[in-house]
Amino acid sequence: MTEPRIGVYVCHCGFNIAGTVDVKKVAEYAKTLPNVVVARDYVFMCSEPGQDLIKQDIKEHNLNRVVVASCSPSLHEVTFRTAVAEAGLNKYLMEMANIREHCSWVHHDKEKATEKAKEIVRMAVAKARYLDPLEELEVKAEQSALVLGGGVAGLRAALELANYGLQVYLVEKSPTIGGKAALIGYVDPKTKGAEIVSKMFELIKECPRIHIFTNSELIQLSGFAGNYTAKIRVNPRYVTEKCTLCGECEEVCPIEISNEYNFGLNKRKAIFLPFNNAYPPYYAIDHRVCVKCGECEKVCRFGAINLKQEPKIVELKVGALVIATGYDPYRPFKGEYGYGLHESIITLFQLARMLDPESPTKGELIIGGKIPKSIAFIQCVGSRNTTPGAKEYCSRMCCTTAINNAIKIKEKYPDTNVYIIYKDIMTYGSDESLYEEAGKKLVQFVKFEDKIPRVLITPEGLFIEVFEYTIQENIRIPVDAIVLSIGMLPPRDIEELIAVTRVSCGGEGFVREAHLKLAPVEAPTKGIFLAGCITGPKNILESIRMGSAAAAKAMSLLSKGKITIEPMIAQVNEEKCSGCAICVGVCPYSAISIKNVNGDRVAYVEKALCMGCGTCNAACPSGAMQHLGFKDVQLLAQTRAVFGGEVNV
Amino acid sequence: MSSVLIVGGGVAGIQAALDLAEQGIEVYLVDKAPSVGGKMAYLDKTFPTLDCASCILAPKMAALLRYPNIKLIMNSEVLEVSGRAGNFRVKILKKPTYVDWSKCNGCGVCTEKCPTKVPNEYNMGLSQRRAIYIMFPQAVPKRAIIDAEHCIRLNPPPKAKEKAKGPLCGVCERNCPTKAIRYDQQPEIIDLNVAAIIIATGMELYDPKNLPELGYGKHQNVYTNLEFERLVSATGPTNGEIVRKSDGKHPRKIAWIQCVGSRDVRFNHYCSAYCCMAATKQAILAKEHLPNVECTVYYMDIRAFGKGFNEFLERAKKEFGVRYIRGKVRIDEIPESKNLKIVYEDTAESYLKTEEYDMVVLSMAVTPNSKLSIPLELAEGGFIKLKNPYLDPVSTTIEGIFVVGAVAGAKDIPDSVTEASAAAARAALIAKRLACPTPEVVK
Repeated sequence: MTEPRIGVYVCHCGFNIAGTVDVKKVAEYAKTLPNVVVARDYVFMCSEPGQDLIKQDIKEHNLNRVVVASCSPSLHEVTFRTAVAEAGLNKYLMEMANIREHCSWVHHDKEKATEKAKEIVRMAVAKARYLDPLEELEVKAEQSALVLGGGVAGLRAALELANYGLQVYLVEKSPTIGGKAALIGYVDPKTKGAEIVSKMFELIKECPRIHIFTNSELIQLSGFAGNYTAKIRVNPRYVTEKCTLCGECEEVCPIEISNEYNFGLNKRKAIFLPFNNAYPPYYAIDHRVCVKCGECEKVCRFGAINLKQEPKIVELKVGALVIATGYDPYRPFKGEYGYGLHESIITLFQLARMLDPESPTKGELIIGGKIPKSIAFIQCVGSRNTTPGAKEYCSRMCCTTAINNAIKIKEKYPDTNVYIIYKDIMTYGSDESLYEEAGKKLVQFVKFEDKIPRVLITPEGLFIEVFEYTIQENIRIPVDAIVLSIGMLPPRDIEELIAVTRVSCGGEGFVREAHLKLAPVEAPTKGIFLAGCITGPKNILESIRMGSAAAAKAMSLLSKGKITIEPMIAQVNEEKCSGCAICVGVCPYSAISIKNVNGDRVAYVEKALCMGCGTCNAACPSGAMQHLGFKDVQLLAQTRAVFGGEVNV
Repeated sequence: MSSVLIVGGGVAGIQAALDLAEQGIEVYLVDKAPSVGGKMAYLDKTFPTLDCASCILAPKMAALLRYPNIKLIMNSEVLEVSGRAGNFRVKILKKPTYVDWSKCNGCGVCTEKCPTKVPNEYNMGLSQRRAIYIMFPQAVPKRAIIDAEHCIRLNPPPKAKEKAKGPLCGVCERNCPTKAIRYDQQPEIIDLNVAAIIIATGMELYDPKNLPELGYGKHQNVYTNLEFERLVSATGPTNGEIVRKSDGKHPRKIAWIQCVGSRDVRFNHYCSAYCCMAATKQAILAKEHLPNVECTVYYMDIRAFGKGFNEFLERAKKEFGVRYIRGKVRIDEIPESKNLKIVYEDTAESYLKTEEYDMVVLSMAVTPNSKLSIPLELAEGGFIKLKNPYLDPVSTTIEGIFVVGAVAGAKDIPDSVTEASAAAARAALIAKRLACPTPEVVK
């Protein structure tokens, strides 16, 4: 090994570091450390002139190691690696010492913080002496993507990706694509969700590269960004393409259950068409309730029914995954604002569906058998901690949706009194115009704060009792119908999604983004992207845009046809390895197997699968498994350095 | 394969540029300022995670420099666009910086030597900069620019000009170690051919002087929220020390006024979407800086609609003791103390009340930077109109021109970033000349 020649660069980060740490002293101290040839401080190391300082020194002082003492490597490691690479040094010969998050930001005492910063730098220098040059690996990237979920977000992502030239596999668990947008009536005063979805279906049909799997689910995902293998279970539809939508089967089917495509407003049979423009345009049999009596098969004149269909497993090679499995509406418990105790207490989804001309009521407002003369929306049902079962978060879309439908009611039934009982009206951005319009149409807004409204079911009818905040008085509103503006929940099957894709969730239960602010459509795992309500409540427009955005990320990932893999991964020293296979068991990525080398069992790491987590490294009893970025020799040097011991190992 | 023009180098423009460049598409990123960063570069922390704004933005700004296929055209504006999707011809006016940026290395020597001090826009005028300056310490590209209006050499005071025999000053030129100063630099016209255009020109704050009842500009201790953001920032005029303009003392009571210029039939009808959470964040920051300060937010509705927002609001109330009062206000100054008397209707009690504060922060409405030389249709509020947002996301009324971020409607950072990526997807299809059926409009 050539003698290390180390340059140390101490960043002020404006006052972020320099306010608490005496950066000049740290730089001076660094000069006294073994093998340090040059040490400097600068106001912003990450700025161009800061990077230039490093580059010049590498050339002038013939440096072969660089230590940057600044912020967390999660922020600027790439910046500094690139800088040293531009100066001709292997980019893995750069080590970062985090003296901001780990020091200046968490201390106030300047003297002690300076001492701590010195120690952090001393450790980094000790490690840097043992850094090895590493080479990145390249693997081919599949030119295809898997989109999970056929709602508007998934459809939009699929369209963009297919137009980009990728093969797209769209996997939807229900028998039709379209998601909830197809069902929720008017999404703004002029546009029906079903129309948007139908237009999207037209585009999808024109795209030969989009392969749709309905009644299907992802059951296994292995591999890594650029090279996933996805196993899809295609559940039988029991109805083939021969179906002409004549509907005779539906009439003879003896099974009747609540119709989830109308949010329970009516019933459907076990053989059913989800909605008029459903796609693919065939009936489907709900295997969960079908008793296989065979009546439908007998009556079908086109031989379109095949009750013997079996589930199929399809294996797909894909380069990227877009998760767009949406949300579930909040499920009020029985008795929550009278829910389930009175036929005239319905949910916002049921109301919105009802006002769609294709609903069971043909767009008429008929609740409990009659057109209500007075109707009240209760907001924040299931959101903002209103009831014991409610979530803490705001569901974002319910205020606008309630107001939009209130306006629809006022347009169609001007004599009906409409109340919106709310905590805060969340018509953010340009949706404010709907709030204004509702006011002009004499929709009445009733504000509550901490005391939630009570629904009273009496022989005289329904009443809402609420402490009206602006007049500070208890009022009692007689109503014919109550609409519970229910919020959004993570989809019911999110646990399975997590198990299969290894995405993680935040405290509120939705999938967590790589960064809430700046990477809202990326999962922390490379190659997995997020669209729509799976990351939290959104409206339709936002979900659609997220579909396009997630597609952009997948395009970027796959556009070069190959993927670069970080070399900071595990490596086996075959001479030391005893083949005990402890590493095989602990690896969360199934990247390690046991192979036979000249008759000896030794561990083998599949480089592309290794994520560099270091678990095997820690578990290996013989020290055979080494993490190339955190070798034992490097970590020991660091440990010795922190306790003031010899820097040499 | 052809290129894409992005107008506006804020966080949305930056994200779109990075997404396109990663695909190998050539990107021209134009900004009227001398650095990218936009409004986010002015922020101290971001809600609801309290991430340091420049810490998360700077890596993205730095990333722009790593792509040889991203061309930054700073201090410039688009003059004219003609042609059509797939082949737009664009004329760009590059205004002189009076510094040869191929020579300047951002060392900052000139900015220390320059004798002329002027209010620093980056700190909302709360500190001073020189006539030759670097926009902010983490500017990308980090290059000096001369403010011609205030430079003694370029715009000499008439009397001094008469007396002097030769050209005045020249301090920056004499001290520049790379000989980069060019007093004779002329405006330049750049002609580009691009396949698609993304508009990401963002927003400005509404002018608080339009609301005389709040006394901004008259009462010293009334700040806009962007001014407060600089005041609380470690890179700000006071290095993060919250002090009053009138006496340099720490405030003991601060009030935030919401919906200033928004949700107001006199000015802008729309909700500005970011301000409830921004005020909540600022109140928390104030509490972190000055643990004994009392923070009160005057609001109409608290709009905590985004991911983690309501949780953040609850934290502000419970953990930090921020008080929220629903009511509209008037602000009077108490002449002796320069304190501020807020007269408000507490709608909880339908009662007119007054309360005294040391400092007041106005949560300003946003107004779109939509006065462009491209004939795009505008929607209500002057935001750029989306043609058919359901089927043709982020598209304007001209095919091949997309719009993202706050110029298309008031919104926060994650929504802007999402739209930017969405536009990158759509522009990439045009730039790579891939089939992209134009969907019909939903009526």
